[in-house]
Amino acid sequence: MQVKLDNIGHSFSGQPFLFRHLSLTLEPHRVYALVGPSGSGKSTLLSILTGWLDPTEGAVEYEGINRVGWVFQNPHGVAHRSAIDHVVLPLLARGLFRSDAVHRAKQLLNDFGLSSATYREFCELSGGEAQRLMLARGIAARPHLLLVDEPTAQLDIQTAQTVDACLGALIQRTTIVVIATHATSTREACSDIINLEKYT
Amino acid sequence: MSWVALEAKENLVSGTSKPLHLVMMFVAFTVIATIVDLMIVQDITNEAYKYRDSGASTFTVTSPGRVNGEVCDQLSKLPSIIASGAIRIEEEPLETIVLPRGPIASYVVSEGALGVFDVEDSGQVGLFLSSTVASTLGVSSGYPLLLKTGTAQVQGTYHWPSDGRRPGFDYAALIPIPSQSLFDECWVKAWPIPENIQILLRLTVNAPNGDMQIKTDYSQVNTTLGTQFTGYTKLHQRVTQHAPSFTLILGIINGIVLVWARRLELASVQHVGVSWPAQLWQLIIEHGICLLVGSSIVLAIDAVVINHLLPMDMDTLWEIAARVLLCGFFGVLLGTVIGSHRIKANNLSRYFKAR
Repeated sequence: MQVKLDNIGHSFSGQPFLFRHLSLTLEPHRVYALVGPSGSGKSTLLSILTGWLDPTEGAVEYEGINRVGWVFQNPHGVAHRSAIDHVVLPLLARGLFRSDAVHRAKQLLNDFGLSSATYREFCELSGGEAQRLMLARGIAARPHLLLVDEPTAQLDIQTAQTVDACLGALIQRTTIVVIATHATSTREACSDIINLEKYT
Repeated sequence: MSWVALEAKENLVSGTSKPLHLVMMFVAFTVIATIVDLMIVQDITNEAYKYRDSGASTFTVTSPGRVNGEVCDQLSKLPSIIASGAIRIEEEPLETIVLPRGPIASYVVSEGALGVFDVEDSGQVGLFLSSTVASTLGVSSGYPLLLKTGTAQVQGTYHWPSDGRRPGFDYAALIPIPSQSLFDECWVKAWPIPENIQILLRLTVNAPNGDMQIKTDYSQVNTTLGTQFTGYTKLHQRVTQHAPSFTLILGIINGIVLVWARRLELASVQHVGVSWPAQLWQLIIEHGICLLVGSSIVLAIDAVVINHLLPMDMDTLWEIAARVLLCGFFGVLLGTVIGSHRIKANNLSRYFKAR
């Protein structure tokens, strides 16, 4: 199970290339920090990895990757549904019985430090709690490849640390994780770093 | 898939489906479209009743001494003929002892003609007086009427208002006789008016040896409202006849907008593994329940409006209201399907940026 990037590059309609000649292999049970200055193409590369955008040059090969998850920069939950509802739904969609889904969801919420927020509505969660909930929900769907876009960009340092602390849970439960980030703390929690500055 | 129904229920209870918004919008556009159409139909229907009740839809053929009373009476058995009967003017008016200087015009009529005059019948054998005569003489059904020639029983009365209908019957008496006689005129009260009304009337005129050249005059009891009823054209050309199409389109738009407003949530749910068919069912359940609630409110409002408007033609009005309601109902569901079809997990990033 792996993702191979073969000499890929991307530019938007005649604009200069954001990056090019990017070749690497994303391997299982590793967390990749995708770094680079603003506008270097981090979100674009995530779009390419999820298959929603074709690279201008080069090719992406997926081996054994069927499900790709994406956690966005800003948490986007359903305002008046509880935290556990957010995590239970992907489990039910995977075919689990409700009792099993609820049990698994509670475990996930616990792993992400959200036990006390289990039955609180999404709109009542703090920024850090909401972002951690999105991570828990993202991996509840059991993606083979999880893409996380700037998970701590909108958070203060203390709250961002609570999110970084959850990255361990991501590594345990997901095959390949790619996190686009500016934060040094997040970068340090990752096993590998992809610096897009090298590919401009 | 029971989780889909449960998810729908939770979305309704939590307000995620915007149930209040959907119910209010649905009730508003359905009720407005229904009421506007019902008002216009009511105006046209009132016009039709006025036309019919004033005698404009009562057609006559005149051929003195040649109208077959039996044939004329039998016309009432045909579809859309309400009543038919023959009349003949009596040369000698009735003279009462009470008002000897106020002779009462009298007509002999076939039995069927009593239906045309819409008489109030006491069941006793006698003659029928116009309500003007009855009130002038101070008599009513069942009273004896003292005439110079003897005593007659008042069998009933009829109303003949001055609304443009043919004069001569507002101060008159009708004397029923067996239909097996010859009369001067045949009157046919019809609704709706059959296209072949003149041909039917012509059948009542006895033509020896099939002589079609016999002079016959055709007319209406009341000609002031026109010789043809234009209500059907008005009904079929009224602007609001498109009310069901209007509610269908508004329903579709409403359905699409409601789903589109939740595009980020729905695409996100698809992204974490919920299939499109499961999501569509969930939305159909959510919107379907809201529409059932909305429909109950609309039906209650319609019931009040229809009962208040025109209780005598409730079937037609209910049919109009039901058509508008059903089009709105299925319009929203159709809009839900269309809107849902446009939501793709692949567009999640775009929805996210555009929010």
